[in-house]
Amino acid sequence: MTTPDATRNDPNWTPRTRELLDRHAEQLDPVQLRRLLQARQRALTSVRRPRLRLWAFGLGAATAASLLLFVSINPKPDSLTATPSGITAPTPMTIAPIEKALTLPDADLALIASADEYALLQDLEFYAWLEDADHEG
Amino acid sequence: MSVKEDRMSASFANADSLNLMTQKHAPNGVATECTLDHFLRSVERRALRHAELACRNREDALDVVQDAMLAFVRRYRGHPGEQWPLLFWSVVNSKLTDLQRRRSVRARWLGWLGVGDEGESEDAIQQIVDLGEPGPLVRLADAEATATLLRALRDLPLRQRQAFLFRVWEGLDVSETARAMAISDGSVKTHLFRAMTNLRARLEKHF
Repeated sequence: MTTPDATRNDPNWTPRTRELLDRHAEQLDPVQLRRLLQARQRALTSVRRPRLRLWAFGLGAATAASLLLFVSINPKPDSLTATPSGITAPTPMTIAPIEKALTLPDADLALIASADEYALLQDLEFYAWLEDADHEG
Repeated sequence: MSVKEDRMSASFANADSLNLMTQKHAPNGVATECTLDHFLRSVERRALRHAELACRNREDALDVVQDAMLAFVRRYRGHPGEQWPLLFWSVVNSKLTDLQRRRSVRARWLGWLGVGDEGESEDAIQQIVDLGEPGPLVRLADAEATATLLRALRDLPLRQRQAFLFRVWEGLDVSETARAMAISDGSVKTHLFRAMTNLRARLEKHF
């Protein structure tokens, strides 16, 4: 057996109670009202924040997509060397600097390989001075 | 007009807000926020009084109301507006129950450790608004009845008080009160019957 709904037996009792409680609820002091306002604003801001985050995420995604699109439709690197005036820039060096430094031209290699010519090369400064002396004399 | 309808119309005095509220989902975020603001403004004072009666501490009561607002907005803002009052009071009840549970656990530990919380009790009691002191309420003709009613309500067990406040003050019906309190209809009737019996005994001369 369930207990009957007690409010049905007190028709005069409940409205009077409600009236007193309503009046009591209206009599909050300014400090409490301000705190309630802050609480409400904080609750509503919590709804706004994820939307802002979503907006920022959307902006970031759009920027990334734009960059990706730009790179994908970008002209090939060769065409970047061509200037608008038709002058072609030098071809980018393909040999590594160290490898180039270790590689000698064929003429230099032949000079070093020949002992006679190497001695001539050592006296080259003397012959140059001798020639200058003859011209002055 | 029933108490519940009265509450609803008071909550949404603005016709536009009422129209927005009765929609299944608000058309856009701005409307939802505006409607939510109206709704929360309409219930916040009563929620604070509910919490004050249960907490006996103004700061705790404000914290409960703030937590309830946050939880309500996060979880239930997408629900149809007609359900908001029930859902909001359900959240308030849940927060109050949690607070009472935490307090009882803390009291048990403090008692076990031999540390009394008499100081806190004194502070809590001191923070209760003394309605017998001169103030705006005392100047009203019903001040004495209100003070007696509030004291009687504070002395009720949590469930009896919540059943009484939801059913009588908020105008929820028995099944809605049961849903808000997460108990059966029969339990609501039992709690309400006991609350009414206690209150009637104490307020007989005022009503």
